Amino acid sequence: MSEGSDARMMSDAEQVAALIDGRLSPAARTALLARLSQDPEWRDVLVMAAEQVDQVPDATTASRPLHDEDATMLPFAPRVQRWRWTMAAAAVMLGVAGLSYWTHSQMSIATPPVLTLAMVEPPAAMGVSGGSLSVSPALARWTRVRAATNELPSRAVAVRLGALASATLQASRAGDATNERIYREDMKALLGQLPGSSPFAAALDSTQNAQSLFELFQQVRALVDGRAFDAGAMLALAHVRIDIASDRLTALLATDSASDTEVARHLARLHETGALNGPAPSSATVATLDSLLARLGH
Amino acid sequence: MSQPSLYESQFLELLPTIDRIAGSLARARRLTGADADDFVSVVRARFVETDYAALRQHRGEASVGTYLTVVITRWLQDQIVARDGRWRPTAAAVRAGPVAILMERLITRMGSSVDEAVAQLMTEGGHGYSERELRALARQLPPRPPMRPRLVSELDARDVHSGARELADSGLTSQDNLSAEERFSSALKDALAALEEEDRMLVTMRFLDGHTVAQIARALRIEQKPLYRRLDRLMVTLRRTLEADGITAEDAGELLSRADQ
Repeated sequence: MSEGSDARMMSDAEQVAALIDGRLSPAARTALLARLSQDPEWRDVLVMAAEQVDQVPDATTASRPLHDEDATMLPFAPRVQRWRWTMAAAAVMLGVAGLSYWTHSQMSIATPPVLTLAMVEPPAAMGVSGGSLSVSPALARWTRVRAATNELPSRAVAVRLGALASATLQASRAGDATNERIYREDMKALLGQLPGSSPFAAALDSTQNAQSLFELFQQVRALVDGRAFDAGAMLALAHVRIDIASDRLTALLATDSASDTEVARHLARLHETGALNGPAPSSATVATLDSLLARLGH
Repeated sequence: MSQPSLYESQFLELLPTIDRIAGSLARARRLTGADADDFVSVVRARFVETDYAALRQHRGEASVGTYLTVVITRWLQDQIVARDGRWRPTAAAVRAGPVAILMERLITRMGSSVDEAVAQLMTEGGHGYSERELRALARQLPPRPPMRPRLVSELDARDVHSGARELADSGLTSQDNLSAEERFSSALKDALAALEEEDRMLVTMRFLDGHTVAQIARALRIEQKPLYRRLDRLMVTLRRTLEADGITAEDAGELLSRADQ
């Protein structure tokens, strides 16, 4: 089993375990049940593991509450990492990638929604694996067309701002100045629809590096529906790395999926085609992601 | 001798729990003697070989004990799939209802004889059937020899499409029957898709996987008693949807004609 699929298995295992422990939020539980109803192997594991947990009660004693104040700290994580001089260069590189991945891994469907840098742009090591990272042409088309529309519902504005924030960061990292400029302009147009956002629109012109942009986008996110913003960001990220966006995306869209058959249909298609597991989305998957963006952003 | 890493220390600390979970799971899957010991060793090795990835990746959303139980259960499941292939109930068993699936699982997956399977089901209260009815039910199941150990790669096991395997296992040779099965499967899939997530999961676990109501209640942490009535109501809904889709009681067999036991 590859390291990637092992990591995904562990992540799925944690969600199934949280279901057995009764620690999932209603939305996260619904999203997980939707996935499990399509996966006979995991259903068998769920039944067998729940039986074991009840039969071996002392196996659950080493537990701690989900919403502890330090709930984001890995229970097994070392508090101090030893610096190894002989591995210095490699450690720096791995550390950056690892931090991004770790940050992403904290974005589980059971934790409160908080936007992180890893949510709006793929980790550096992943982005460069297939050459220089570039913004999906389909996403570029979508943001260009959609941002121009006026009088949008507030949730649609939030979704679009999230998608544009992610796209802007992706373009910035890829050195794609043309698209980055377009996305910034689109964001400014959308921010014009939000009262009290003019300082942020002005700041968009003067903010240059990716980290500062990210911090600015955090402030923009605070002006709108945060979950909708995150959903937009995840959809944009999925255009580049769907596997690292999929869990969070599924959780964020659980409510939409329950109330909107169109969203449910698109999500089901992503599940059925196995699109959520591959690193780079196929053209058919990109089309489905675009449809989801269009659905949520109007 | 170098100091053990933090994860290694955690692993050693948790080793009694890990061994207990692995041993208990092995017994539950009827692994005995050397096979059970082998599994416990495989689990230990897996932690070490992956540089304690299972410990490193625990995010704290679930308790440590439950998380380890699920991870080890999944490893056991993967090992069984790699050895025996994936198990899915035959279409005939699905149509004959959850008790038939349970019986088929005991016979073909767990290697029980018909007598042993009937005896086990009777010790569980018969699931609403008499011993005689259970034997009659066993005769309705298509002949399928118990799965034997064979060497297949994990990739091969994963690549075998479950639908294809179900078709191969169903024992259906007549083209007419095949069409009826396909029509029924397709309508059932559509009917399930129309249900709410939890309802879909309940129906799938009960009527397609053959899990008992007690197992479902335990797994999903919902109260068992109201679950019987809820499943009955869901079956009425499912029946109406299937009938509206042109599926008759004859097509659907016991699945639609017998209330939940």
